[in-house]
Amino acid sequence: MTQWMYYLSRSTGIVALLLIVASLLWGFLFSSRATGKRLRPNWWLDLHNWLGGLALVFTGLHLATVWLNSDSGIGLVQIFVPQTATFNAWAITWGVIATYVMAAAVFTTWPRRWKNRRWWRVVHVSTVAGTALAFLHSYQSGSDASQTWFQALLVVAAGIATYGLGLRLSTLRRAD
Amino acid sequence: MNGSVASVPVESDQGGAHHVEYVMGMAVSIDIRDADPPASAVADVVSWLHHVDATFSTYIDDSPISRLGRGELDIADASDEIVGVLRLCEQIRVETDGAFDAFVVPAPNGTTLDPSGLVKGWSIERAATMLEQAGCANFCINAGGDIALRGHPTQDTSWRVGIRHPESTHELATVVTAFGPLAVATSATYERGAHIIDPRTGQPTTDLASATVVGPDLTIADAYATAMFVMGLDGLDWIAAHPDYDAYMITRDARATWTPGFDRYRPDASR
Amino acid sequence: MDSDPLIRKQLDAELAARLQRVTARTSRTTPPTAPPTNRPAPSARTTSPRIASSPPPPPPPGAGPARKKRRHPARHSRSAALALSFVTTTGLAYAFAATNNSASATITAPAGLVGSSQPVAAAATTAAPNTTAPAATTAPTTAPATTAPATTAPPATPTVVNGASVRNRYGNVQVQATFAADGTLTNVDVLEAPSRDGQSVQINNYAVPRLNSEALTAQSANVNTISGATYTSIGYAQSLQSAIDVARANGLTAIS
Repeated sequence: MTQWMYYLSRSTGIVALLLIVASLLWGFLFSSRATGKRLRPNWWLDLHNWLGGLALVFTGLHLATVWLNSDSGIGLVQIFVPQTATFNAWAITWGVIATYVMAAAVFTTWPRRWKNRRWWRVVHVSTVAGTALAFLHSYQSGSDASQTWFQALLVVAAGIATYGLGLRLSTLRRAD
Repeated sequence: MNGSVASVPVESDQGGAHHVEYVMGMAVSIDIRDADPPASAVADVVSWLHHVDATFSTYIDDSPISRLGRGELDIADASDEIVGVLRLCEQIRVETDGAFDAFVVPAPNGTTLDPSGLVKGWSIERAATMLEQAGCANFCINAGGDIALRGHPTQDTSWRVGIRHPESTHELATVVTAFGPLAVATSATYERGAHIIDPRTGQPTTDLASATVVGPDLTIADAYATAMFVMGLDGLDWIAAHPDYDAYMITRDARATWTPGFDRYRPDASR
Repeated sequence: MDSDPLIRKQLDAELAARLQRVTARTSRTTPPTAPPTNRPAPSARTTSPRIASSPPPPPPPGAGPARKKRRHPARHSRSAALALSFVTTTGLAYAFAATNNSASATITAPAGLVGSSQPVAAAATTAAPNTTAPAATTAPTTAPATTAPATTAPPATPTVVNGASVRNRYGNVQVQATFAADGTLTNVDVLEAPSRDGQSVQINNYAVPRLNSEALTAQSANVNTISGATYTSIGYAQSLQSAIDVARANGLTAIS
């Protein structure tokens, strides 16, 4: 049971990270209007939102399995309060903060988008930092961080995210 | 467990006697360096250890200690051994302000009576006394890391006891160098999953990777090591007030700290 | 430590009281209830978010109701993303489970090391690396039963000795100790470790600072015995102890 929670906490963490990257990329492509022939199709935004929500769901599963893994040394307090973990405090802290940022981005959009567009934007843009923290968290506290495949995965995912960011920044002027 | 299965006399070319016995869920190494130890000495110790296992094992459902915990055995009917051990536990609980407590932490048998944190050291200390009474003067008994030393390994050399490094299987954290009589006990969780529960809170302790206590009596050293592990670094001040006992602690972030008196066991480490 | 009768009487009274609490607690908790560990997973909501006709379509966790008019690509991509995520999660988890068992073997004992030092040792202690009957059902310490080598002259080359395979609650532990010619313990490799050990090693693999207060390796030499085992994690020390014992018994380590 505990063993499986351990395996699941690793896999859900990895999948959550990949979903974050996917959502980020999809969002960047959308806002830089790199969406193919049709500019900004609805379904594109819909998928971006879906991926973001799914990332949050998998982050939730990640937290749940970490918590259920009695060997992890991480309880509810450590999940929600930064700097309370006794082991790897900083690595865990990055994850906690990233979770808050992602949750904020999701829940300022769903079920209803915030009226205050300016603040909505600030929250949304902060997910870039949140993603960076999620990467840091993965690298510092991931059980597989010493594995080549995992490092390769991180590099590829980070490359994709950076590509999206670069694309968005390059089109900053003509975007809304 | 039947001793015949896991009872191994180890051949020795230096005289003396060397025996490894699997009992109480661990390997107990009895290493006698005297030239001509009496033949019965080791056998007596081995049967004593099996007797202790049968009496105090919390893994055995019908051991006296399990029955006592379930209320099937009245304390008035318990053997003097059991009463004596529980008294010791109680004394040390008071002394350690609850950091050592044999009465509250869940045991494998489903009760919350578990004097294991003291019984191992107590039984080995008694075994050492038995060997002394049988005429042995130089020996080392190591019961899964709880160690009773007497005399010296060879003429003019002192015993050297390695203290495990909590993370690296290749290394030792330090070495305790001393002549007997001396007791060395280490309380540790080397696996991340293994916890020692703080009896005062019911929560797993988190500060330390290991706590080693060195002193004259293994019964006390064993219980103190458990208490030290629970107290964390605060325990250093506590044990420093006991002139005969010293502690060496390794924190979870792999830093070592020790009482000033511990330095006397590390002649080669002092700089 | 026994003190005067009065204090002892107090002690016994307290003892009886605490025992009573133990038995009371035990009887309260004994009914072996089924482990209530299955908590409901955060269930995916299936309520339909309101669909306005406005452009930003309703986002995440809610699976949108089947939209009648347009079969737009999002529906497929949504379910594809969902399915892919779950498949990846379970796939990875199974992969982790499958590799965890073998991980323990790869921690510190590359086959090459065993192979390279073994021939050297073979001359001196062919017998000492005990025949490790795999999954022996008998108790562990039977292993160091040694057929003593013919000569006890200290070898001039490093000697490799396998410790007994010691079983603890989590599985078997076996180490391999290497002794230098002068009998000092120079290296310890884990040949076999329970999966939990494997787990802890993986967790601890990164960036754990070394003990900063002392030079460690210099002190690993010349040790009679090792402290630092627990009821739960005694296998390592036991196996190493038995390796030391075997080596010493064979006159290979004039340990002092």
